[in-house]
Amino acid sequence: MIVQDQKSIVARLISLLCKTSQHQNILATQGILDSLASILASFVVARGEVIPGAENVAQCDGLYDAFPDPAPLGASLALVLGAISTIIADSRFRTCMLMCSPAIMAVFPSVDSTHPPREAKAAWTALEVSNLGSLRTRTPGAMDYLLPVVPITQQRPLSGQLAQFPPLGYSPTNDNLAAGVRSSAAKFSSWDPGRVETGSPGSDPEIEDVESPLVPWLIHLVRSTSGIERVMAASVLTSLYKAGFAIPERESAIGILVIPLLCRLIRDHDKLVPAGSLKSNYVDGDTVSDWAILERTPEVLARLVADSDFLQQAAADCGALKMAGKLLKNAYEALPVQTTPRPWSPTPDRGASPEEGLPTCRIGPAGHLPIYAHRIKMRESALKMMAGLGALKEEYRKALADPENLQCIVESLTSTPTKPMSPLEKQRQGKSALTQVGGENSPYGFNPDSVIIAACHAARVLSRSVSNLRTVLEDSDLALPIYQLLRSPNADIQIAACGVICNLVPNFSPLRAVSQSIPKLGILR
Amino acid sequence: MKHLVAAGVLTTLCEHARSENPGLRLNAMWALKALVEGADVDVKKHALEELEPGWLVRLILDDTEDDALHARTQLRGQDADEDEDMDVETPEDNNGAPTYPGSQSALRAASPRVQRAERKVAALREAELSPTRKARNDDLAIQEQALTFIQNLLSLPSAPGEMVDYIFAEFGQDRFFDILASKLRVKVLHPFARKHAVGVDSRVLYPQAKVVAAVVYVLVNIAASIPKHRQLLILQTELLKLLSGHINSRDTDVRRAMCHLLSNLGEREGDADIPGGEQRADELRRLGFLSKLEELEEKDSDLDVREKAKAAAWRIKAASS
Repeated sequence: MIVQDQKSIVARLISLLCKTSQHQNILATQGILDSLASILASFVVARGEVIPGAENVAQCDGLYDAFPDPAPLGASLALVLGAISTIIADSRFRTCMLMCSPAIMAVFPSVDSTHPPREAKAAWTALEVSNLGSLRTRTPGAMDYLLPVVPITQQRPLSGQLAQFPPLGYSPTNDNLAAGVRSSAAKFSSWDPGRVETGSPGSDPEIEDVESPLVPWLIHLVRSTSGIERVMAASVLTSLYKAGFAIPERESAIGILVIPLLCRLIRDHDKLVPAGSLKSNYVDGDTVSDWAILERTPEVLARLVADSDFLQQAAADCGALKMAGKLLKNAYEALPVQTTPRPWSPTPDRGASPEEGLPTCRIGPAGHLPIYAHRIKMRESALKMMAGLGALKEEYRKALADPENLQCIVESLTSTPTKPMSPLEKQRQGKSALTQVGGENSPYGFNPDSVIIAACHAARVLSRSVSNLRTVLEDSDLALPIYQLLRSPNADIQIAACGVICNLVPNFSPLRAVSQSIPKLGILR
Repeated sequence: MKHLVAAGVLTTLCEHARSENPGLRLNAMWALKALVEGADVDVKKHALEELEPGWLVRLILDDTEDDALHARTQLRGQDADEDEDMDVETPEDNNGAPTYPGSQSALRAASPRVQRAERKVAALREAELSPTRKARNDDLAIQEQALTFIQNLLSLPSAPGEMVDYIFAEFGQDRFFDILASKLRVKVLHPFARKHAVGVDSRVLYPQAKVVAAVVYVLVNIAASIPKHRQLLILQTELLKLLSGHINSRDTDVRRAMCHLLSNLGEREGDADIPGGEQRADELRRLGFLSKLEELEEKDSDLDVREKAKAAAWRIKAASS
């Protein structure tokens, strides 16, 4: 048990700290990723979802030693998935290292199964007859039997109702959480591993890569877990999908099986914050887990859909456009308790400390309330969600560019946000009110660089639409803060701001003229 | 200047175009390119003035990131004995392939599947972590944007030719064509590099499709302006010869751009341009462009290229004597 605790702590630390690619590469190349992968594989064993015949294949490939024992009780799947997801992030190289790590290759060989169970075959044939899917393009792998069969759309985009297609196939139960390598393929009870053809070892090595069963397994995992485990499984799946390691048909499966679940996670966990948590340092466990899910899910969803028309549509059909707006607006609710910002100073004001005793025995001044950190993270996450959803479709960009959303985006472009309001209201309030709110203790907190960069990306996506530029964006105060951000001391913010400028300055854009007012702000030197 | 429209932004962007950060240089050039597109003549001239022609030339010609990397590696090579903290990974230290458990003999006799996985990981590692490749990609992206910036400067439907003359005056006409030609040639980087400077040895760089297409589009806009400039362009035999090597490029965009250019060169504007048009058509024929166009018209895999090649060939034939 103690070892498990330590593993969990390490996994948690990795998720929290290793955000730069330099660190992620070190973790990947120095064996940490392999170790995490073998813990992940041990969950595969414990869940009885090893590919039938994997042991034989592993023996042939010299990977038998990499075959893990089943994961012990008390090990946390969510933490392992979280750490893996943090390490692989958006890198094809690191994602490939995960797929090719010995333990994953051992439990997930790509073998063809020639004898599918009768029920599954019937479902496939039914779909094929109705022209909704084709199996002839490829033989389904063993892992495909754990997933419901989904219609595959090729040319025309899928309409939303099909998402309610009744699930077919296995209903996962926990009965088979049996231990032991021998029964590790327990879920595939209808099969005799002896019947499985091992992908003939002598075949052409250059033959184009077969998809790793890790991809369908993760889809299955998203469906069979809940809460934060589900989010983390989706996050790892996203990395694999975005890196191009999934076969094209998976797009349909993800749109129909994964996206609705992610949207439901957001909806179910977006609850009213208990009054107590608004003011105190204590937050109850349920709320903590709600918050963790809410903070991560929109960002995973955004990454998943960003490059795919079909997936964006799937998300929009689940109400994601409205959801993104709501999350962002909620993140700009004024907080009843305002925490004083304390910028770091080399000469802290010692006189003000009411505590006595040795410096090491003092608690120090109170930090930010947990709700404050949550709100800030939600801003970033919701902005990313908007950028992801609007990346391709004009229709969605229009829907997202609703005036209230834009007001929140404009506030997110500065480090000292005020109450989101329309430019007209701001004028009416006058300067006195503005300076007062933007002062020391703002109920709207302070936006760190990550929020500002996310806001730039959202602004860039929304300004990709000419009609947005000519209507709502012209009315908003968007251009001014962007022009100011060009002078930010942070290079990443400058880069993000330049990205928005590209969309604001073309000659059809009315915002081009807004830059006239810049010299007054002292940006012209 | 009435159109100080984007003055504040323009100044800042030009400053960023000189940043040490390649990402910022790239995005700033991208924004500048968008800003001058369709802008009027004052804004265009102001933009070039602010960016400074000399700096623009460096953005196009220099492989800044590659040179910087080269300098760093050289330095590292010199004091490799003392300097052990490696933040740039060199190929020797752990090749990144997952270490497979089991005995060494198992490793040697790795199954095809394991070997395949190892190869894939190694290839992706090279693609993603190699500092040389990153520097090269950064440089190419910036060069492409800088060329597109010029392309956008040149087009001025309200006063065709004015910006072309301006740019010729700023850069020097011959120098300008030299710069463009250099992007179509093979370039040898660090010809005298020392062998132990790992990663950045002497390398040969072939012209990249995106940069080539950007060069051709600059010429397209010159050829689109006035007969005088078309006449100037047709006299650049050296440049045209280099271009003829790219008309069969594997990149569709390059082929399309070439058809566009040839079509523009074949155009005649009014009666006064008839002798000029004839001369240009003869020259293009002499350099073998007409037969290449006819080849594209017949065999190209891309419908758009076939159509454009047809139009260009027709024009050249119509113009020739």
